[in-house]
Amino acid sequence: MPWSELGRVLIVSPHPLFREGIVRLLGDQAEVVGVVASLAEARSAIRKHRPQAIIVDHENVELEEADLAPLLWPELESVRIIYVTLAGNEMIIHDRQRVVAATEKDLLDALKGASYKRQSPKESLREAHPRPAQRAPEIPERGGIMRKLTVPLLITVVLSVPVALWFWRTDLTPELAAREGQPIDFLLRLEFAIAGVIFVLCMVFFFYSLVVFRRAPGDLEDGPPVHGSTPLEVAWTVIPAIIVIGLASYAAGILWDIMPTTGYKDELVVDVTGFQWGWRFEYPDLGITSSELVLPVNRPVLFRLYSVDVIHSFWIPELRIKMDNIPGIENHLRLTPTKVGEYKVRCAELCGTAHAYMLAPVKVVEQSAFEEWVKSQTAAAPAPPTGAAGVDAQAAERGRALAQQFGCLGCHSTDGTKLVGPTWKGLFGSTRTFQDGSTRVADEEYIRESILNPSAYVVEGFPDVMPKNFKDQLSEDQIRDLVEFIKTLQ
Amino acid sequence: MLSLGLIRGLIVGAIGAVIGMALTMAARVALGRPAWSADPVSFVGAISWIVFFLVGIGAFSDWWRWAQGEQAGDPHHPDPNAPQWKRYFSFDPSHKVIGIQYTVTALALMYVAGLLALIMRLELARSGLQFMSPNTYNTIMGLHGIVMIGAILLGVSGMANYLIPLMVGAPDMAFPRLNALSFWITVPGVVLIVLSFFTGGFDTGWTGYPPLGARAPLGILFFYLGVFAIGLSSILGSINFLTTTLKMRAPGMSLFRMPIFVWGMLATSIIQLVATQFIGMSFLMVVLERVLGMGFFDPAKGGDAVLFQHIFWFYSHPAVYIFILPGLGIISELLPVFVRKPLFGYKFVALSSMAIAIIGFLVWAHHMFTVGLGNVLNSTFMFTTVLVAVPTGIKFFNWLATMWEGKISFETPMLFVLGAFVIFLIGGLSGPPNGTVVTDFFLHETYWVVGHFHHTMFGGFVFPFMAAIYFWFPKVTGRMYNERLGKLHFWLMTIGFFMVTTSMFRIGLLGMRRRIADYDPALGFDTFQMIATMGGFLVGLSMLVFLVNIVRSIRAGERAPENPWRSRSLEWQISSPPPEFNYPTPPVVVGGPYDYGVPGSVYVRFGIAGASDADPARTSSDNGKS
Amino acid sequence: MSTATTHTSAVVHPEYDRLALNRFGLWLFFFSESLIFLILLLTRFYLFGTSRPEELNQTLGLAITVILLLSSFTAYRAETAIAHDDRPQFLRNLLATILLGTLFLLGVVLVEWPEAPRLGIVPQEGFGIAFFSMTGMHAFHVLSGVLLLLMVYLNGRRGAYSSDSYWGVEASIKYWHFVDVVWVFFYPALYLL
Repeated sequence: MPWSELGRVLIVSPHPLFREGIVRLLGDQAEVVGVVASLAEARSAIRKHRPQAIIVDHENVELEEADLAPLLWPELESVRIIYVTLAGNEMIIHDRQRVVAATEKDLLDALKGASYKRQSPKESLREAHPRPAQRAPEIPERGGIMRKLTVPLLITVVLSVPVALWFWRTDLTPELAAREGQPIDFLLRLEFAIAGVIFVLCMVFFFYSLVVFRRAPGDLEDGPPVHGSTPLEVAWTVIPAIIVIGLASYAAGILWDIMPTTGYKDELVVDVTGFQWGWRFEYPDLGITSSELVLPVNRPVLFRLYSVDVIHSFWIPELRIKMDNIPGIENHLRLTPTKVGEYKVRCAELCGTAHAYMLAPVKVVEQSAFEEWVKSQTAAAPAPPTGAAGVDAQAAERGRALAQQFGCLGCHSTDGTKLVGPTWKGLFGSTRTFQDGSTRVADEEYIRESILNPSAYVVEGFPDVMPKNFKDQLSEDQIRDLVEFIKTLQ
Repeated sequence: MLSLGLIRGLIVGAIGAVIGMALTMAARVALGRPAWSADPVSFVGAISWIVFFLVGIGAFSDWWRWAQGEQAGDPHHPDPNAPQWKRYFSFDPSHKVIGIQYTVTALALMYVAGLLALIMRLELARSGLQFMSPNTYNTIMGLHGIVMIGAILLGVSGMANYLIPLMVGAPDMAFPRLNALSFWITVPGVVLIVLSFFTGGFDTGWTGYPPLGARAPLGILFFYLGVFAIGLSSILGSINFLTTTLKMRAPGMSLFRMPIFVWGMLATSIIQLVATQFIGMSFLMVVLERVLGMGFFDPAKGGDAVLFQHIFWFYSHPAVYIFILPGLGIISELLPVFVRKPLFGYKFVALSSMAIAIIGFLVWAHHMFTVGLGNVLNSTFMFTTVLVAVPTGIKFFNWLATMWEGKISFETPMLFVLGAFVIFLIGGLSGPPNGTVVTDFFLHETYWVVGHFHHTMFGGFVFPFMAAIYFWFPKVTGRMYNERLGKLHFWLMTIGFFMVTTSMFRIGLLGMRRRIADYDPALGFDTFQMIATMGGFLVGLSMLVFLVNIVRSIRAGERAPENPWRSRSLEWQISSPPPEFNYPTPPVVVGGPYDYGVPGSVYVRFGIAGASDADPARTSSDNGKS
Repeated sequence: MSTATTHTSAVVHPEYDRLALNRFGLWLFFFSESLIFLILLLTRFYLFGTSRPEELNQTLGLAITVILLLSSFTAYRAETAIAHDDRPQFLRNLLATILLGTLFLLGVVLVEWPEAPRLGIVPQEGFGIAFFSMTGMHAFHVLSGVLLLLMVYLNGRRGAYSSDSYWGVEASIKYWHFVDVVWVFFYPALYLL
C-alpha cells in the first residue's frame, strides 16, 4: 500500500517533544491535519478535519481503542488508529498487535506497512473485547434428527444380516483337526460377524453422507455449525468398551480351557526339537526318535518344545495352535487331534535361509495303527540294515541316527516320497541328472560332496536350498556313517 | 559441488569410516589379535561414518564455536545470493526447509521400499522359487520392512516440521540447529541400512530377533546401526515438537484451540520420546553380543532370548501409533475443510490421540502370545489390547458425525482422506482376531497379520500422507497440482491396494506363513498370490502417476490462489509459499479453529508490518467473495 | 520461495523466554536418556533377579561412589558461584569436579574392569553382562560429562560466563548431576543387593 494512503494524519500527545518528533518524521510524506494535546481536542479535531489516521502517544494519553471507537462512530467509516510508545521494546501498537521498531527507519517502515488492514471501528471494538463465537442451535428438534437417521439405520440393519450370516457360516480356515481348535474357530467366526456389522454400520453412514450431503456445484456456503454432543460421545465410548471387554472376557475363558496349566490323564508326551532346518520328535515314554510326527487320534498330547539354535515355532495349521521353540526354554503345548489324516508341521518363526522348507510330516492315525508304528520304530533299532555287500552295518546304524538327529529325513525320505529334496531310496549307485543337464553316478564321493557343498550338484526338479553349514556340523566319520546308511536304502 | 553440505558429508563421512576401521584394525593388532574381524571393525567404521558425515555437513559447527567460547547467535542466516535449491542439500535450520527435506527423503524411501515389495511380489506370484535364493529374499523382505518404516518415520517428521510452527503461530521450532541435526542423522543411517544388502544381507526380517540376529551375516550389523541412527533422529525431533507445541504457541492459543493435527503430533511426540530408546537399546545389545560376545540373549551364557522381545516390542508397538496418529490427525484436520463443518467432538478427538498413546504403551506383549508367557500375562495383554479400540472408535464416530449433514466435495486430498477412512477401518476391525489370544495362536505369523498391518499402515499413514501432500502442495510451492492426475492416482492406488490385501487376508486364513519365499502349491494360494502381485503393480503404477504430477506441477503448475481450500487454519492466511519466518507479527488467536458455519466467527487476527494481503477476519459467510 | 522481509528488524519475533525453552528441552533430554539406564537396570533384574556375586570389590565400589558424589557437590558449588559472579570459586570448583570425574573414570576403566575378570566376572557371560554393560554405559556418559565440563572450564577461563548469562554452565552441571543420579541407582543395584 503506498505511503500516500496514510492520508490525513492527526497527532495526539500532550508531550511537545513527541508531537514535534512525529511531525518531523513524517516530513512531507503525509498530510498532518492536526496536532493536539488532549482527548477533548482530539474529538473536535476529528470532527473538523476527518483524519484517516490518528497517531496517539500511548504513554500519555490514557485511552483504550474502545474509547476512541465510539468517538469515531458514526462520523467516519474507517480510520487507522496507531498507538506509538517510545518506552521499552514496543514502538507501535496497532489493533493490539505489536511491532518492534528499533530505529527511526523501522518506525517509518512499520507505519507505511506492506499492506495495511483497514478495520472498521466495530471490528476494533470486537477485537478489543473478543466474545466467544456465536453458536447456532446445536441440533434441531429431536423428532427431526430421528427422522433423518431412519433411512441409514434401516439400511444398516438390512445389510448387517446377510453380512453377519456370511461370516458366521463361512469356513475360511483349513479343516479342523484338533479339539482345542473348535472354540478358536467359533470365536473367529464371531469376531468376523461383529466386525462385519460394525463395518456395515460405518460404511452405510459414510456412503449415505457422501451421496446425500454432496456439495452442490457453486454452493459456497458452510454447513450447520454443529460442534458436538456429549451424550453421543459417552454412548460411543461406553458401548464399544463393553463390547471389547466382553469379547476379551469370553476369550479369556476359552484360553484357560484350551491351555490348561495341569496335565491330562493319559496324555502322550512328545518332545519336539526344532533346529535349522528340520524337526526331531522324541517320545520319551516309548523310547522313540523320529523325524515324522505320528499321533493316535483322540488322545491328548503334551508337546514339549525345544530349540538347539534359534527361535522356531511349532505349528500344524489344522490343529490351530502354534507355540515357539526357544533356545534355553521348555514350552508346553497341549493338543488333542480329532481327525485322522496327513498334515504338516510348518515352522512359524523366521529362522534363517530354509525357514520356508522347515516342514515335517504329521500322521494322525487310529490307535491300532499307532501301536503298530510304535512297534516298528522300537523294533527297527536293533535290526541290522540289509544291503549290498560291503556295507558296514554298525556305521549304517549310526548313520540312521544321524540322519534323524540332523534333520536330513525332514527333506529326504527313505521310502521314495518326493519331499523338498530327492529321496534317498535307491540313491546310491543311480545316475543323477542335474539342473544344468549334466549327469553323474551317485557314488560315495558324490554323496560326501553333496553334504559338504550342496550347491555343487543340484538335481533337476529340486531347489537349491539344502543348508550349507553341514560342513561345520558333521565330522568326516559322521559323513561316512551317513553314506553307509544311504547305501542300505535300495 | 563442495558447496553442498550433502556432498561434503558423504566425502568426510567416507574418509571417517576408513579411518575408524583402520584405527580399529591397528588397535586389534596392538592387542595381539588378527587385524580383521568383520563385526568389530564394521561397528567402529559405521559409527565413524555417521559422526564424520555430520561433521562434514556442518552439523556441529555452531557447537564447535560455542566450545571455543564464541557466541553463535541466530542460526538463521540464509545466503540471499545462493539459489534456494541448495538449501535443501545443506544443514539449514529453517523448519520449512527441514520439513521438505524429510518429506522428499521419505518419498524416496517409499519408492525404494515399494520397489523391494514389487520384487517380492514377483517372486511370490507363483509357488516355487522363481528367480531368487531364499537368502536374497529374506534380505529384500527385511529391507522392505525397515525402509518402509524409515519412510513413515521421516514422513511423520516431514509433516510435523513443516506444519507445527505454522499451525501454532511460531517463526520456527524451539531448537532449529537440533532440528536440522535430526534430519541429517537419518541420511547416514539410511545409507547403512541400504549397505546391509551389500555386506551379506540379513535373514531375520526387520524385527532382528536374536539368537538368529546374533549369528546372522554381517549385513545385520549395518541394519541395527542404521536403525539406531534413525531412532536417534526420532527422539531429537520429538524434543523439538514437544517444546515448540507446549511453549511457543501464539497468544490466545490454548491447548483446545490448537489445530487438531498438532494434538495428533503432541501424542506422537510423547511416544517418540518415551519409547524409542527401547529399540535402540535392544539392537545395541545384539550388536554388543556380536562385537564383544556379551550374551544378553544367549541362554548358554545366562542370557534370555525373550528379554529381547520385551524390550524390542515395548518400542515397536507404540511405534505403530507414531506411524498412524499423525495421519489420523490429518484426517481430522482435513475433513472440516472439505465438509464445511466443525470437527465434531474436537475435544474428544484431541484426547483420543492421547488415550491411544497411553494405552499403546500397555499392549506390547500381544506380539509375543506364542512365546509362552503364561495365561495370566497373555490375558492381561489381551485386555489392554482390545481397549485401544475404544479411543480409535471415538475418532471414527466423530468423523462420521462431522460428515453428517455437511457439504461434501471430492477434491484429491479429500478422496485420499475418504480412502484412508475405509482402509483404516478395515485395519482396525481386523485387529481383534489378532488381539484375542486364542485366535492369535492361529493367526500369528500368517498373512492375516500382513493384511492387517498393511491396512493400518496405508489407512493410517500412506493415504493421509498423500492427502497432506496434495492439500499443502499449493501452500508449500505456490502452485497447484493437476487434479485429474491426482484422482487417477487415488483410484489406481485404492483398487490395487484392495487386490493386495484381500488376497492376503484370504491366504492368511488358509494358513500361508509370513516371511517365506516359497509356499506349498498344494495349499491353493497361487491364484491369490497372483492377484496380489497384480494389485501391487497397480499401486506402483499409481505412485508413478503421483511422481509425474508432482514434478510437473512444481515446475509448471498453475499459480495457486492463496487459500484454494477456503480453510480457516492459520497457515492459509499468509502467502504461498510462506515467508521465511512465517508470520510477520505473531498472530493472536481469538476463537476456535473449526467454527465453519458460525456467523462472524474469527479464529486468528494478524497485525501490520509485512502481513499478507489476506484478510483473516474473513468468515465463512463471506468466503469466496473476494 | 520468496521471503517477505529482507531485514529482521522489521519482523517481530515474539518474545520467547529462551532460557525457559532451553530448560524444558534439557529436561526432555534427561528423561529420554534416563530410559537407557532404566532398560539396563531392568535387564539386570530380569536376567539375574536380585542376586549378585560375592566377589565384587566393595571397597573400590564405595571409593568411586564417594568420589562421584563429592564431584556433584563441587559442581553444585561451582554453579552457585557463577550465579553470584564469583569467578575464582566457580573455576576452582569446576576444576575439582573435572578432576574427581576423571578419577572416577580411571577407577572404573583402569582398576575395576581389569580386576573383575580375575574375580570371575567377565563381560561375556553371567552377571558380568549386567555389570559391564551398566558400568560401561555409565562411564560413557561420565566421559562425555567430563569433556563437556572441560569445555565449560576453558570458556570460563576466557570469561565467557557471568551471573546473567551462564546457560552453558547450568546445562552441563545439570547433566553432571543427572549422571550422578544414575549412579545412585546403579551402585546399589550392582554392589549392595
